[in-house]
Amino acid sequence: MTSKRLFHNLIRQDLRNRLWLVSILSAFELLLIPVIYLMQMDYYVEGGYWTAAEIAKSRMSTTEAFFGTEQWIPLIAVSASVAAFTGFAWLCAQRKIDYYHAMPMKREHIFLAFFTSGWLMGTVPFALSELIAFYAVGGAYRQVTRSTAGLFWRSLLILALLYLAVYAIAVLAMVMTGRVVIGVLLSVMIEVYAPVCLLLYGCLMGTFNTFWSDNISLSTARFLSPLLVAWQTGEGRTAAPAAALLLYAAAAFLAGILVYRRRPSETAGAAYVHPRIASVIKGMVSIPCGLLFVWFFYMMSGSSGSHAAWAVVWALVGAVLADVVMELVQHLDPASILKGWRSALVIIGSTVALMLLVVAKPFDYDQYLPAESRIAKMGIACDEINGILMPETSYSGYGQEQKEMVSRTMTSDFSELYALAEEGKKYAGILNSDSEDSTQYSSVVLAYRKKTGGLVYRSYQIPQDTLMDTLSALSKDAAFRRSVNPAYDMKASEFNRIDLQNWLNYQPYEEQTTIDLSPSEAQQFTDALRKDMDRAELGTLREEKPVLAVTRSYYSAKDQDFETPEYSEVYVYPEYENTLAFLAKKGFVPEKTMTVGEIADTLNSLQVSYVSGEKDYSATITGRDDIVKLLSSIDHVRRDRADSDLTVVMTSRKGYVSYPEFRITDETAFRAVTGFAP
Amino acid sequence: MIELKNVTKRFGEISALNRVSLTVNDHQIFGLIGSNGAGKSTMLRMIAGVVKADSGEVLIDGKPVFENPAVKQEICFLPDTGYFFQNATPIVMQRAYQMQFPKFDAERFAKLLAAAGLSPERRIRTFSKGMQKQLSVLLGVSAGTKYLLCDEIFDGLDPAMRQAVKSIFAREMIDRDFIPVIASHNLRELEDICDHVGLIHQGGILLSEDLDDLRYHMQKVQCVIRDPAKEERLLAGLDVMRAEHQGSLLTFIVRGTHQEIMDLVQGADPLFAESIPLTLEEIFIYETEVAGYDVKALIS
Repeated sequence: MTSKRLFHNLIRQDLRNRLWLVSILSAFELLLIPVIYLMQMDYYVEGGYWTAAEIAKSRMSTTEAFFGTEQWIPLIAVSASVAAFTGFAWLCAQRKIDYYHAMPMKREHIFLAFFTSGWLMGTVPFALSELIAFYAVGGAYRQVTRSTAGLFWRSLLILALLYLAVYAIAVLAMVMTGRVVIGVLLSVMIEVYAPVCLLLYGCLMGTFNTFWSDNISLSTARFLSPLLVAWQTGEGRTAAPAAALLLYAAAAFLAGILVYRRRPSETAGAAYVHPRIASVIKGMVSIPCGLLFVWFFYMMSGSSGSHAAWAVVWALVGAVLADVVMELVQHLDPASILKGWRSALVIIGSTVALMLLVVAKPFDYDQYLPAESRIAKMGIACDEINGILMPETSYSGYGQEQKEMVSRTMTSDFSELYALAEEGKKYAGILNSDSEDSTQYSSVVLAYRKKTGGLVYRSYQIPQDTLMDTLSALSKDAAFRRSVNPAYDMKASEFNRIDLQNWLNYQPYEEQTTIDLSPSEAQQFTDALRKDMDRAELGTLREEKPVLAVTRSYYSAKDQDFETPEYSEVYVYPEYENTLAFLAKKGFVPEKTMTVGEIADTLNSLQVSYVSGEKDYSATITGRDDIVKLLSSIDHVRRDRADSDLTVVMTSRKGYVSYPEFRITDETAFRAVTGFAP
Repeated sequence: MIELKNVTKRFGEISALNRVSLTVNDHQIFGLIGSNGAGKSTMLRMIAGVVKADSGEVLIDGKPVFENPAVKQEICFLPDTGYFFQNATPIVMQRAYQMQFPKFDAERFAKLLAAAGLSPERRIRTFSKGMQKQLSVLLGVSAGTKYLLCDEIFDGLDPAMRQAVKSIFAREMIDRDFIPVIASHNLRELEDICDHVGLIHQGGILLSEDLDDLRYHMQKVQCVIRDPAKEERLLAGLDVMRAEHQGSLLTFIVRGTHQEIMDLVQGADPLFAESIPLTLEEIFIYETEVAGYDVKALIS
């Protein structure tokens, strides 16, 4: 029998031997995925949320909601890992190694055969189930169009590559060890080590520094783990994640085959196939675990990092514990704890040294602000900018990532921002205090790029008045206004429809008005909004309420598809003359303020709850008079001005539910109607 | 032909095989014997291509075996504890072996299975240890390979089955080119079947000879010599491995042919003298004793 036939027969044999896993995956995925999708479609229709025609129109969002990458990542990761662990567990039993390595096959062919069978048993059932769900069930609900199919296939590609990457990593972990448990731990470690370390770094720096701003967010770490790479496809990216996943898979596969070729046959039962790896892995795990111990202690104690000496003590304790646990896990022998004393000393010493570095803040890193002459540019990010120009419910909110906002606002005319940074240094820790005054402060991120090229982020708590004065001053510069103006990211070609939500009467969304626009009208609307936003001052807008919240979308009559571009929601204020004039030409005039009586007439009930420390109140108010009294005691505001302890849920007579943001303006009246004193 | 040339293998600090050289010629049944931990299993694994030597060469018919599928197709390795797939039946394992060894004789396997009273459709995990061993042997024999490496093949087999295995091996050797290499502690069985034995001790080869030659060149002699001085001179002139007295009866193990030894013994005017055939077990014990493996020290 030729090697080729033996290779294929080995794949078939392995699939037969692991028929139990193939059956579980197939049954779970083939039966459940199409069924869940069918149930979801049925729910939308029978629940009365959408008609069948509306579901068809919303196919892009429903396709994204079900077939988008994120929700399937855990399933893919688990099935890939299980396939790898079960497929290569034979490397942990000597009699199985004797059997397979005595076969007349080259080692890499044995490796390839098992690798292939494991890959097939996970990928094929999943792909089949998705295809059946999308084309059979989705087809029945008119969900299948060129656009939704594109979205579906992109997601399937990413998930298939994610499976390959996670699978290859888990296989690599298994060939590095002679014990399944170690293989599992190694696999998890390889997949999440880098982002976890970065997060830990951010957590520790945030705990022990006052002005630290974590510029290493998950978005920065997104290429450091295949799971995070797959996650970012929810942001519309495909090519870069696909390439990254392919690279992960290729690197892990090559490393796996190289390690396997050199792996001695007699390592079944050993922690690692090369004993020297043990100390390295122990160090890589124990040091971050020791540091995590410190952060955990501070988190549980509620301390802000002021007891720095304890940090060093806990780091030492954490490192010792981690070292002991790693020795036991690796060698299953308490005697090995003492035998590994040299590496233990290195680990403990390194952990304590790192902790000292964080606590001691050499060169006064935390407080440090270079002289203005050494700075090339500065930028700013704060919630006030977002909250004033756009509703924060935007799913792809403008500048929600601090890094993005900061980079857009980078300016070489930064004297205002520098003054703000110096002001901020005076208010260390104010937002963490229980002082009532802390509500008058805003959290602001300032970044400075040094003339030498380095970029540093700092976080300050700034009095809101001071911040708004600065933003107003900055708004005088046209370039700054444009940098924070979402209208300048709008492309007229990306939308042909606007949905308008009156803000003043905070009605549930049933009151939305939809206006279809031709391409030239879309451009006119964009131009009008740009002009209005160009003239507006952030400080002035902050004191006002918007008139409208506008959402843009693109509706394809041919495909009956909706697409919502980025930065789709913006506020329109009374002084946006050009925008309001354009809307008036299209026959839309925003509603004037409704009286509380008019609003109460449209409502069925109000559910009110107030939770603050030990104060906990909730009630449902149904009588019109009571609803009027309650609405008279509260004020509808933007999210950034809202009272976060207060929640009001409005249910209209038509059954629609909304959750506008409120602030209590008359505590006496509020208490009179609810019997509760906030 | 199997050749090991200066083969060394270490497992960490432990030296399993130390510069071992050995040859297994064609048309013989080779018995590999040795003390516990001597390196027998390691050697078999090395010949099977499972374990790679740290230094030296392992050649099968002049070709290296490690990572050589063409050579490995002629070797079937039966380890001490065989591996069968979860929930497999003998038929499933037959298919697995057929996949690896093109010359697998399915018909012969079916006949042997029936003769051994093993059901082809029964799950192997329900077999007893002995039955699993039987199955291993039958699979190995049916594989049709030139070389069959057996580690503790008689362990767990009943006397009838052991006899059957020996008969099967003998028959195979007559019918085709078949060279079994058997590692075992059951020296009585090996004695019946093997032509050639190799004795390993602490990673080294103590001896590798034809069994008949081995017996021919080692004698166990019992005699009574009245004159102590003559007895002393006699023992001094011989290559004695062990000597002990039971009263006036002198028993000693000595290297040399029967004729040479008895002539020398007669020269000492014994009252009584006779030569007793040595078993393989006795040869093993005396040779390893000389090498320092003193069993008496374990129990004293």
